[in-house]
Amino acid sequence: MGKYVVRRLLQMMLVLFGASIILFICLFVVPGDPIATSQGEGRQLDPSTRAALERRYDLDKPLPQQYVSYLGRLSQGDLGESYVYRRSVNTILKEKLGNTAKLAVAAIGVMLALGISAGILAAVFRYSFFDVLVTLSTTFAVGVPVLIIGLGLQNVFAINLRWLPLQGQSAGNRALILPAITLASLDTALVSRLMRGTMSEVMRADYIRTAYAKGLSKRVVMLKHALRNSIIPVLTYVGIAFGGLLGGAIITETVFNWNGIGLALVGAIQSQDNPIVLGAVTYGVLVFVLVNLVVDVAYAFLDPRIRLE
Amino acid sequence: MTDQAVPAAPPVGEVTLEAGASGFGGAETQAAAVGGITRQTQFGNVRRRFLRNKLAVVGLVMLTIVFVTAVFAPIIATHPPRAQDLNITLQGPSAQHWFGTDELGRDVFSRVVHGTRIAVTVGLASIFLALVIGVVLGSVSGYLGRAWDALIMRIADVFFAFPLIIGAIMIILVVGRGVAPVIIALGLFSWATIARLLRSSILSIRESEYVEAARSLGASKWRIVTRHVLPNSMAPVLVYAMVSVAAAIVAQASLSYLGVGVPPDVPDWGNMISSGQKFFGFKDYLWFFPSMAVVFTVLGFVFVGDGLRDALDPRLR
Amino acid sequence: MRRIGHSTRVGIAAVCLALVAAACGGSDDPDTAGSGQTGGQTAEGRPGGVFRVPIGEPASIDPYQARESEGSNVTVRLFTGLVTYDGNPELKMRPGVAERWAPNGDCTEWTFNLRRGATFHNGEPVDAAAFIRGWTRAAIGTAASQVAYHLQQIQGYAPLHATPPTATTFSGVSSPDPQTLVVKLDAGDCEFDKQLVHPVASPVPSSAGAANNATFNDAPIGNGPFMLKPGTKWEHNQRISLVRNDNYFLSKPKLDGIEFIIFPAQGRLEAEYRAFTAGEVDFARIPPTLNQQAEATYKPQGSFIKSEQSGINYILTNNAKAPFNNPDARKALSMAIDREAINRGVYQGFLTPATSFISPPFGQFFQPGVCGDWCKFDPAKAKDLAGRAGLTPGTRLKLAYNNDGGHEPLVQAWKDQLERNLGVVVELDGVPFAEHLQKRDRGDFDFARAAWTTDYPSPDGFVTPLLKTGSEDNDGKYSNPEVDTLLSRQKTLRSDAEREKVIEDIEKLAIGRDLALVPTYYRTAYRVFDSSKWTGLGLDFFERPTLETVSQK
Repeated sequence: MGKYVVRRLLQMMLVLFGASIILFICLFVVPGDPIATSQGEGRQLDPSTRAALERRYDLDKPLPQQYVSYLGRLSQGDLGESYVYRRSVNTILKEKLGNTAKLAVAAIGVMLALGISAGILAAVFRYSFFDVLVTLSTTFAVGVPVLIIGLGLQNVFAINLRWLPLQGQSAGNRALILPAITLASLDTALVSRLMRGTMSEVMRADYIRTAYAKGLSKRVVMLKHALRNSIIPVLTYVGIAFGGLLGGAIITETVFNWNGIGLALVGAIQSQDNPIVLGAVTYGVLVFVLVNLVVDVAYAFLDPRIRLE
Repeated sequence: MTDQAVPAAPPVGEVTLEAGASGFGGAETQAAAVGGITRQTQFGNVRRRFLRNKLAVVGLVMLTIVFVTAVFAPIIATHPPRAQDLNITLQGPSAQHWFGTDELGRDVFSRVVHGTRIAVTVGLASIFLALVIGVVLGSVSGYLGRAWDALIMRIADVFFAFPLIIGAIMIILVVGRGVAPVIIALGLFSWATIARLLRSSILSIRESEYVEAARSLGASKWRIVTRHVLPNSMAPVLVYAMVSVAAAIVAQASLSYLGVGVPPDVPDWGNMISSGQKFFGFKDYLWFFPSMAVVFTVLGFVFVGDGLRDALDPRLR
Repeated sequence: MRRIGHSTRVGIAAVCLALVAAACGGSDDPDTAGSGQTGGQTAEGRPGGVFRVPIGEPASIDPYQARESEGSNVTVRLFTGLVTYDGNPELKMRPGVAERWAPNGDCTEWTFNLRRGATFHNGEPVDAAAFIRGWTRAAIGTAASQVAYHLQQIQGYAPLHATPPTATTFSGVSSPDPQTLVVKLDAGDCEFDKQLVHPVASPVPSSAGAANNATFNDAPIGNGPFMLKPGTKWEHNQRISLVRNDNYFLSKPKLDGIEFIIFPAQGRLEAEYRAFTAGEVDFARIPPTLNQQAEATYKPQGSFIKSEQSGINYILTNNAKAPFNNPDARKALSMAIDREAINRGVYQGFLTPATSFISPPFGQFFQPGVCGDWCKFDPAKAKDLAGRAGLTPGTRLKLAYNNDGGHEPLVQAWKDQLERNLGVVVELDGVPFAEHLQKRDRGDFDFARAAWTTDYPSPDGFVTPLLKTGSEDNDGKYSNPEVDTLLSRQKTLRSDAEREKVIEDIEKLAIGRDLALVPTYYRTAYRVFDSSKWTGLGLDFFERPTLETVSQK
């Protein structure tokens, strides 16, 4: 087990390293001049200010050296300083992370509440009207892009019915509802499908039949045996999804003007604020890889049949 | 899930017959012919199962509509998609303009119709690119194994760790904007899963008896890969590719929505949604119709992809 | 002065910057006729109340780096410089910390007499040393200030601003006594005082430290009409809370305070307008596509502000290469574009087509119609001129624009009209603002969407940067020795009347005859505010709300 974790950690470092190279190359091949961009006004920088800024951001050094110093800082958890705001990227991202996390937690809530219960009901009442309804709606949820779900929800609930705020965060927790549903839509559908699938499979297993034979009630069999044995892959999936969500939801955050990591990333890409881009993506990749690792390990821990090589 | 979507019955007949032909000149055609027959039967099964699935058939009809629209866009469209008329801007749907007109007085219906071309082109081309990269790297990885495998899979891990949209934005910023950059960007960040799928299915097939048989008969590595392993491991990949086309179409629309897609005058659904959103709440037809076009197309691909997966592996039902 | 990317959806917009709103300078009539601020009402309201203003996350609120509209909107409330501007059409500066000021004969040396009794929010006196401190802090190379260039005319700027700095003081600035500030310039400029209206020329207290002092960056101690609410600082991505400075040395504002509510820079126009309609803020900018709705809803209530601003939208032509090195080609381009149809069809009539380069708020310098026939739509004549200038059908032209400012409809309309009226082929080249500026700088375009505004109330901020040979902002590479001579001359004219004549001649030559650039629309700003609660709000010369004049109804 320990060996496995160590190996996975090493692999993870490798992935991060590769990702940082790709990112670094992309950012510095991009046409345009990040230093000029960061000044955000339509005037050329005077040579002295440019020199001062280049020195400040290491841009006067050759690319490989810049990369090495970036890696050096990264290994200490320092993501550098934003060109536009002249503040620590760590601080800026931390401010945004709270919002992103809030949205992610809300989305996970939707996913668990709606996805799992719909999946269970569909599995228990297989081929019923409800099952067909779940199958159909999950198929649609998979097929309708997040962007359009977001716009549709805004249109119906914010513009026409005026029940919920259209965008932004100023309206408190009510502002969370629409973006959370939007963000969760795809995964909720997949979770309920997965739940239905694993639960149906488990229900055909011998031990369930045995349980019935012992005279246990359907309720007890379902909750004690079937659910417990079928929920692991679902929770695994939710775990991975949470990792994805924590990395920032670009489209949802843009549609709802939600001041999180995704929105910060889009803004930084447009204003060529490379330290923020680099920081936000590195962070997203890190979270993704870490969550994968945690999920794999937890999975192995929970299910003794899985053998870690 | 799709990992297991290997064709149900390994085509044993193909191997024995080809082995009998033992690699002489005529074997090529003979094997192909015989292989054709077995595949035909398998294909027949798949087709039967596919056509029994109502949603899959609906999807097929939808996709047919999409492709017909794409091919015959100029005939179907009622107006040239780029023709502006500043005297009739922002008019709601009417008899002349079924989906209304946009802020430059262009016919929204005609733009939606022509948008099909961009969507289908980008969707298919980017996934084709991903398939080419994924199949080459996946088969190298699965068949050569060892160092190659480790290297390629680590590279795949790296690409896999980037969300599609972010990866695509990075590439577009480097390459520039336009249809071709979007295709390249989406292709570059879609191959990793294909390579992984192919690799795992090759790994299982590589150990199968018929491949062993071919190997013992002295067939070259190349021949084994192209003749035996690849054809039998492609099914899950193709199913995945089908759904990926849908994902690519969504990603392309999202890129345009974020302002890093194709140029603004190109009749493209993402562009239309993005510019229509400025009139959110009072000119909703502007974003609604292109959105419905995206949904229609994507659902078509998803239905067909799902149907295909179920048909290829009935155990999953 | 600066080029405007005019962001509607995007990050830091480059809009106007400069110091001090209306009525700071003791002017008691905020509704100065004609130009400057509009919509301001003279009605006397009750003092008190906290006015909520939405802004995007500023890049900085410290004066050393007050480089964009969002941050400047805060900085100018916190700091008052030597002079102020109240929007008067004579473009006269009003007293700030300086009571009197005058240049010497050739305008190379300026003497400012500072008032007594002006203090910083912490009680420290605002004396000449405070200005020297502020200017040096911003101009020194290590500060890497992007707005320090507003001080570049002052002697000693170059060594101070060098990287690394070869001086630590401004050799051209001295104070014979605490109430006198003497500024020597490298070359004569009779409008130097106007440039000091920019926030970068603010005084700072001794606690300010160097430019990278994070404490001061987030909680600047100024001398302006408002100060940070005691005990608070800039809460990034949340809010900045200001309260009235009861010791302010000019006329005190009526508001108890201002609450700047920070929206994500992305899509903030939409966000702040929606927040306004939901009653979460008291004032908002309006997304252009919602102007019509906003006017219909809010004008009847008196909550809709329309204000002619000093900025100009124009088409930048690449005058350094064919075809637009030929004035006839530029004229053909200009006449092939139907400004009115685009305004009506695409912008619901909310733009103001331009007939001159220098815009209406410049008072007596404004020459309507100086562009003449060139700014009128005439496809037949355009075609004729195009033929003579080698702008033949099939010519490929690259139209550069920034794709982060919502200009897509405009450039597409231009493309369509040019292709239709001249038979040319227009290729759209949209990239983000910064990259766009670099393309312009490299000359990698045939024509481009462009906009310009100035940081100080003088037409010099328009004509010198954009029309002078070799000016770094002259991306069109227009060059006319005759114009250059006049441009140099107007700098050293002490009389406004004389300068007016020269500026008129410059515009007649450069626009009326050469059409060095193609004016398209003046910059008209629209805002909404909650008139059920507030009165006395307008927009100043720098497109900022006049929060110093607002009061409760």
